[in-house]
Amino acid sequence: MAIELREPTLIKQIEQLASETTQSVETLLEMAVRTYLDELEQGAIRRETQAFWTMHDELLQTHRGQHIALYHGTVVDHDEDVSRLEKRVREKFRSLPVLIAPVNPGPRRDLRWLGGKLANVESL
Amino acid sequence: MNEFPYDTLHDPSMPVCSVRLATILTGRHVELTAIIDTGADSTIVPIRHLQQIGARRAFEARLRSQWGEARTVFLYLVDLQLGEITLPGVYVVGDDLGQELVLGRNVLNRLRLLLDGPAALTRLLDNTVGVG
Repeated sequence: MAIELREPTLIKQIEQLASETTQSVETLLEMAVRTYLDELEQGAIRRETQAFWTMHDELLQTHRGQHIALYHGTVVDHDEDVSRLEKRVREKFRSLPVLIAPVNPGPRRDLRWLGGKLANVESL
Repeated sequence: MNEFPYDTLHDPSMPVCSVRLATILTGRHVELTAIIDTGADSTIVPIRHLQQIGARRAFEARLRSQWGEARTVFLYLVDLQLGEITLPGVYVVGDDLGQELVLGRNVLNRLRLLLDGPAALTRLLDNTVGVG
């Protein structure tokens, strides 16, 4: 698939950066697009995770002990076998960001790593 | 092969094992050495290996150290193989900073594992797999 850039300033900027970093324009563009898509996916999964915890009490009534798939805040599939679920989700939603998570009782809690070194920590 | 020599580059030497990381989504896999860490709730995998096999983000969580520091992380779904044991559909933390694969209790609690310090060997005692 050929993709054409039309914004002259943007083209110049990319060409200059490619020259300075001794990378091809194609490599640079691929990196930029990959980073952008990755950020979009992070944001989408973050929103789905928030929806998951908002719905958690309700999910416990309907899907306790199962793994669910959530897309745009709606349960789109569920299964006791998470591998089977993931396969179906990817067949249907391909590369779209879909949350897959277990529905277990108990409040939201942090994972613990005793002895782990966490660089670039966030303020609490 | 269900015996893995300790990593003697560390002092004291460190219990490790070989792990095959894969995903059904792409069929791609990587072979890695994992640190056995009973202090970790979850298995932690450098994100570049997850990208290498094409694993996708499953959900967001927070990971906290014993000193209370916390980071937002994403969990991914992968298949793990240790020796002759295969564990499909394991949630692992994607680590965008570290370089080491850490095998945490979400996996360790499903295995019969012997840390044979005097022999400097990690032994998977049989092929029994629990639910964790």
